[in-house]
Amino acid sequence: MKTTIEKTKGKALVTLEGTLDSYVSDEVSEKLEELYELENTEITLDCTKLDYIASNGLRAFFTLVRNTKPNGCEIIVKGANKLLMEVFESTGFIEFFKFI
Amino acid sequence: MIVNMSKSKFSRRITWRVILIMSLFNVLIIGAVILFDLGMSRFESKTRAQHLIYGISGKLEAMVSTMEIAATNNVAEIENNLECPEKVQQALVHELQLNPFYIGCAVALEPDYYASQGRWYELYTSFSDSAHIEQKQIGSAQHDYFNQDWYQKGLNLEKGKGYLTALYLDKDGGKRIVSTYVKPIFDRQDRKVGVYGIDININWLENAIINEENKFKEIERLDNDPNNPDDDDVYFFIQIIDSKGRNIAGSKLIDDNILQTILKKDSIAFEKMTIGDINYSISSKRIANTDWTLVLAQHERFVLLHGYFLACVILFFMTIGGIVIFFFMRHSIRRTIRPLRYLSDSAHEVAHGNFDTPLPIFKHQDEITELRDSFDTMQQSLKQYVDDLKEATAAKASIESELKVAHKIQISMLPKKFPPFPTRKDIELYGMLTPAKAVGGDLYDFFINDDKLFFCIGDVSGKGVPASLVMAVTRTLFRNVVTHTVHPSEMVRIMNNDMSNGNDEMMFVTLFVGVLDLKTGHLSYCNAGHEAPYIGHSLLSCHSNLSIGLIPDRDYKGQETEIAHGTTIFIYTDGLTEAMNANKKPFGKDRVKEIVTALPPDICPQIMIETMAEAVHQYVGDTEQSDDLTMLAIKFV
Repeated sequence: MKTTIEKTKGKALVTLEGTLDSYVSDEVSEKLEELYELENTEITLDCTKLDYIASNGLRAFFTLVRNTKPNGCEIIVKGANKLLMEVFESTGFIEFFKFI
Repeated sequence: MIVNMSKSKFSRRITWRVILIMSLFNVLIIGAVILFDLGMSRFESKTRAQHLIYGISGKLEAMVSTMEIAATNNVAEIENNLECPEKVQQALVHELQLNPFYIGCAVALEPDYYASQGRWYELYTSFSDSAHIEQKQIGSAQHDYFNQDWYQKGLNLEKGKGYLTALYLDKDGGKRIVSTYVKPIFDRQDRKVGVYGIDININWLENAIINEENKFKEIERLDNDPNNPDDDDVYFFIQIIDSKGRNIAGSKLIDDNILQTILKKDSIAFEKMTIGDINYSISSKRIANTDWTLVLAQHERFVLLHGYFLACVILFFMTIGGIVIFFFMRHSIRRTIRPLRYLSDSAHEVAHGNFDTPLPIFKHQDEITELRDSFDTMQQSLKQYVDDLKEATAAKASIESELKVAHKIQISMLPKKFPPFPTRKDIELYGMLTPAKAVGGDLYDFFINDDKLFFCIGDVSGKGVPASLVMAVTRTLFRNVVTHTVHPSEMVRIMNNDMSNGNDEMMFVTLFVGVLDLKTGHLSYCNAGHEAPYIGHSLLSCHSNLSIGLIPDRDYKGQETEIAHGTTIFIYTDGLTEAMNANKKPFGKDRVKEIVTALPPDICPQIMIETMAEAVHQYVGDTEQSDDLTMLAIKFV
């Protein structure tokens, strides 16, 4: 599982590669913490290379939403595959993100 | 501490290695020494030979020298008085008086020199006894001295030269075996007129030779076996021979084979020659002014005697020394190696778990002590490590036992008695929950109130202890909320509010709550983020409300449907669809659908669940379970 974060002016790009299962979710969550201080930033989560997301992964995503939405940030999920979309849909998490 | 010394392979190896190298060097050195000594022995023999030869020949030559002087004087006197025979006679007598150790002296003249005397004239003067000198003319037809060797030799000499003849029997003169020193006599006209001779005996020579030979007889005697007549090698002999090979003095041992070789040279320093089948080293010298050759022969063994003797002595001491050194070295090395043995034994003790075994202390501050100190450090580390490990294991054991208890608590929260309502004919239920770890985050619950079946299934995010805590809370809430309302959507809303507070970790629960009216088959339900259940063969259409616990004060939308009699409702958590096989491929919704639709829609819940469980079990194989697996089947009879 690889997490890379690129910050530019007014935007942040998080590239996720691999499987976001319960073993790595803590690590990913920690990495995402550096985005919590951002304000009014458009944060893109690039999930094109993300195969799978477990419930702990959803937690990590939700924690990011919880900590950045109040600061005026917007979270965009990019390139989520069918499986990922199903998960977002069935859990109702779909309402937290913009999907492209 | 008992140390098994005899089995010290290492010390044995070292000992042998050292002994081998030492022996090699010793052999080389000794070999060189012996070779050198043999050489020295040979040199010594050669020197001895030279020394003796020069000694004896010196004496002989000295004798010849004095004879030469005496003869010269006498000859001069005689030459001055040749015409007067009486004066000649007197001269001869005078000579003997001066030199009493001569046997005799004579003047022999050429034929008819003194006309009055006749053809032969040899005036021979000698001692008749110790006091008297007698003189007579012995030349005659019977004693035709002209052809005798001594006369011939004398006449052939040049003026001033002298010659000592070989031994011969002087029948007419001395009547014994003599050797004669001859010189020619010249008249005033420088014509050779005769020969002057002095007879001497050379017995002293024989004695001198025997004396020298006797010095080495002892060795010869020791070596030769008195009982074996064949073993009588002569080790050392001196012989004087003349130019015809006839023996002058000494042992008569030189044989014809080597005679010519010897006579060819004026002197031989030290050469190997064979007499019989024995090798001798020959030294020789021709005596000046004579026809004689002095030969000294040394037996091969005698020559090298010194070397052989030395070799034996050295070998003897080397062997003794070698044995002593071997034992000493072996002992010494073993003692040095002993510490390793002690250390090895101590290490064994430690290996058996005896971490407090004291290591031996060694006197010397050397590599052995270094090794010992390393051992010590290792021992302490091991001890520490084992102690830490014990602690960790104890802690783990304690956690595990706590988890076991927690597991039991959790299981007891779930309805576990099947069939749960044996008296009721209108409903059949079966459930199965397998946590991935000791405790899990899945839950299901049901109870009947007022002919209404209240049921739920939930999945807490994550697994293990954290999820199990939330699971416990959720289950309690479910049981409680029923006292406030019977509407699923309301129930879920209240549960969500409660759980959203005090949830910093953002733990959420996917939940499906249903209320089935057992009289009418009317089902009201609310799905909060959970997998849609199967009603018979078809999926129940559900509104995806958000999972509970995340955002408080949300409205949850409920739904209604009718359940026909003889329909089995199948609810599960994503542990079923997400079950992974060895290739990391999930069991999948399709497979679930396949199995559900393959069974009749009114299938007995137990069979339904067991079939599904078996299918998953087959699919997963030996792979470790990745998520909690929960299934609940309800048949509305």
